[in-house]
Amino acid sequence: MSRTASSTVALASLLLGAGATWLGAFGVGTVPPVGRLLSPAVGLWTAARDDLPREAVGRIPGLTDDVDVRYDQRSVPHIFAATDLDAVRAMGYVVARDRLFQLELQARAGEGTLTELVGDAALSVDQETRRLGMPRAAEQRWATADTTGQLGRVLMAYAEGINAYRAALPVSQYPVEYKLLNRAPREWQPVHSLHLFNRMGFTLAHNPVELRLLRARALIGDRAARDLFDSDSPVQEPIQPNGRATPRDALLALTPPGNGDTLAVRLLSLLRQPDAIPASPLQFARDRADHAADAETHTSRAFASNNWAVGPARSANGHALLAGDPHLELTLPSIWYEVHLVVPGVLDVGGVTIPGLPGVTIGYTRDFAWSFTNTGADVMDFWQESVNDARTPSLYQLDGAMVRFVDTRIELYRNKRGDVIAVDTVYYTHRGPMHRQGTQWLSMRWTVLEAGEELLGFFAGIKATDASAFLDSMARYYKAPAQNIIVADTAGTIAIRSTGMYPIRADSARGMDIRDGRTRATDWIGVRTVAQYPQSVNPAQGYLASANQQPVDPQRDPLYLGVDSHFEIWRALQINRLLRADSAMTPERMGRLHTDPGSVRADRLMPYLLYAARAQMRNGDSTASLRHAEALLARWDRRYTRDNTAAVLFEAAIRQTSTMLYDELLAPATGTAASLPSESRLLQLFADSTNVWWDDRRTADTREIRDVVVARALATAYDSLTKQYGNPAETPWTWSRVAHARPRHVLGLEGFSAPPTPIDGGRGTLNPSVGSRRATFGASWRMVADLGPVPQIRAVYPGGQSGNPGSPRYLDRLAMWGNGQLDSVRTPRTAADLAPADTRATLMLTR
Amino acid sequence: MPALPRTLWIALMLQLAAQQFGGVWGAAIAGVITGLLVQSGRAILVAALSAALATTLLLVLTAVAGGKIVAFAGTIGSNFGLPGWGVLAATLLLPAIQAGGMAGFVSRVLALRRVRTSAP
Repeated sequence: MSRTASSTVALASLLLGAGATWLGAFGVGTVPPVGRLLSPAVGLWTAARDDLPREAVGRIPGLTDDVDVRYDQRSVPHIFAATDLDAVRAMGYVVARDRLFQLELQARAGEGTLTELVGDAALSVDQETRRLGMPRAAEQRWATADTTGQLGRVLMAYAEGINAYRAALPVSQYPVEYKLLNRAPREWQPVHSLHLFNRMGFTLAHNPVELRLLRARALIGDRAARDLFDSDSPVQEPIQPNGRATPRDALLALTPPGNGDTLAVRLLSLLRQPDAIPASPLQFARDRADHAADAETHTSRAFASNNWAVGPARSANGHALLAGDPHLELTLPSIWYEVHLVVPGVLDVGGVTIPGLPGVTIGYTRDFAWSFTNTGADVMDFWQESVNDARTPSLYQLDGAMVRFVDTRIELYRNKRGDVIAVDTVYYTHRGPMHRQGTQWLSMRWTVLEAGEELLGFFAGIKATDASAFLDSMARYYKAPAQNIIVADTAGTIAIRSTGMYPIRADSARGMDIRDGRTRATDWIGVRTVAQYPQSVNPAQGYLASANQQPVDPQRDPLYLGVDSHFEIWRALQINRLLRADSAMTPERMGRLHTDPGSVRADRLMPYLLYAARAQMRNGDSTASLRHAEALLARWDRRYTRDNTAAVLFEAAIRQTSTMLYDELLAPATGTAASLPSESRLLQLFADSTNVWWDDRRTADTREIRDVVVARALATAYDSLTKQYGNPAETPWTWSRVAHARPRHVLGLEGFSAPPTPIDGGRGTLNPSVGSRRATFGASWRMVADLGPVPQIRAVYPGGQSGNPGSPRYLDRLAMWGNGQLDSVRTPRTAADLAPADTRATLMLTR
Repeated sequence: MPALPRTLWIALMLQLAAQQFGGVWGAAIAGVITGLLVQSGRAILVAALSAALATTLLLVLTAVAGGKIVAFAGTIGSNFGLPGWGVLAATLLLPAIQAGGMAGFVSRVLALRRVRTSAP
């Protein structure tokens, strides 16, 4: 070979070798450092094996004594510790061991620093978080916390456990998400738990109903809008029993839509955001984006949670029974991590914890079990402020004087490299954060920003020995997000209390309108006392149930708690129907109720569909679609089993009916519904066949009535489904073809998400785990507790204990969850109680 | 012993150690050493082959330890719209190119130097 040729080969070889190495180590442009990802020694492949060795040891410097951790065959760690703080340290360690990336992601979501982990794409989410004042509230709470007090010691112990695991973790063992993002786990600070708690508050108690009502008022007038968004449910089956043996229908006629309210129109135009301004607390921009991207997600969010308890008089074995299934977004890894803590003579508690929060959120002790549903209470209000400078204010008007802001924070948003990518100024009035909305400045008060001692409620509560003491512990500390806490104990007591901070507004106002901020007279003037909370202990009916329905019958107590248009009455009616019908309930049947395919919604709405179709056919409508649709629905047993072939049509017909019915709520600019009321309102309108709501305002010369609209909606739905899924006579529209649950990876990575899982259930049933293209909402945890002398617990969640997508423990519970089965939860009192055959792994933690 | 040439065995051992402990730099470093050892046109082939073989062996060890390599390749690939075999191929190809390239460069430079020093 000539010298020239040799030199060329040498140069080409260098370019190839060095280039490939550079690409592998650092990446180029949008191409990630693939060498780091693909290396069998340090890359993604290290995650492709079982991540729970049979025996392991670890060190946590702060421990006062050794901690013995035994993982059972369900991969649940049973922590046996000498002190409660050691148990918390160990909990931090085992949670980090399985869920390290999730810990950081969730805390950053509450801190508003997601951009530093995942990049610029998360900027709008971070901006919303910071403008809501969430990170400031957590930081202030931690800064003023007594670090030698119970809360401070618990948060620090938990951080010690997480950081001990993190510090000993070699780079090669970092979770795959860190490798894909080319990041390293950060040190866990105690305040991160408070950020995470705020994030839960955002998920469960961020409900700016003011905007929905304002939009509706601008379109259909004040009275019609207030009727539509009334906080009183059209059917009363309250959480606090009202002494009735049947639901109480309160199907009042709704005020017909009229002309828009001029004041609302004016205010709405002042508040409207220019497109360039990102999301703000009132969510104009986010709502618009959601509508454009995926309207189904809104529908999916309608689902919430169930819990119920049966007293000894109505159970076959004479024990109190309790069941609960909180409905949240289904993610992988799951929002829940199952754990069991034992400190002899001090505590013995199991259940699920949220990675990042040092406590068992839903679970059981030797004496009682508890679960939550969301109240949907209105705990967030807005005030229109007058400021001295519309662009960069320094003063706001209050009681005739211009006063300084309580605080002004410059928020810096950084990317993964630490560069500042955006800057915000957030002003704080005495009420809370203030943000510019259109040409106006709105301040906000929100109970989530005033909470922070809830963990103390849990810690005191799990040491209680009966249901009432547990509820009282929670009531003492628990402010937000307000929850319907149900509890049953081994003495046979069942109890429920809607616990949280409920504001009392001046002049008996409801929190549904934006208020005048220029005077303190519009401020909150107090909070409801515990005695005023909706609650019940051992009611005469022998059972209790909550499913996000209105907690108290307004005939009993007219006080306003809130309105969440996502919540519907259907599940509450269904649970009560099933519990009333069974005076000898068993734990097994309790478990089956979680996935009961029956639907009060279908039972109550379907007759109107069939009636309308038949009436139109009698009147000469011979459309083939209408006949086929009527025939298909008439054969349906109204149960959402996975092999039924008519639920798809029913769902499409109801959706189409709502679209046609609420044409008055279509925003002129976008053509999409500006605000939709709770679906429960359909009951009132179905019962009022000639209400002007049924008239289509776009057909000026015709006055439509219910049966015309409903029949048209049914035929349209049939045609649309035929187009989408084919002729149902040839390719039946089986529910399992269409409705799936699909937990998605927390970063939305397709390969790390679960396969679509067919289920029994759907909207309005007790198992509403149906997803849209972007997310699935549903039963994130199911638990049944049989409160005999030795409580027996059965439970499941969709996913697995490991956060590692390559682990056999990542999805090992999904099939069981999909089939509606529950697994037996082990509750050993000592390490020796867990049989060797039932022990999957051990971990010894030392100082 | 199998009939692999001795140099390939040495290169393979080098690659195994370098990839296991040197991470993403390992294949390139072992490639440089292979170039120094072989000092001929075969260096590229020996280094590339030994790197790919070492990567394969490390993956096999992961599989022996319980890792489901093929399934996990599919899982990773589906995050990027790639087939599982594509991920596996990239895993083998990248260290091969790193090692082959560096070995080729070193061996050629040494060859050029020999030509220069042996010239009259």
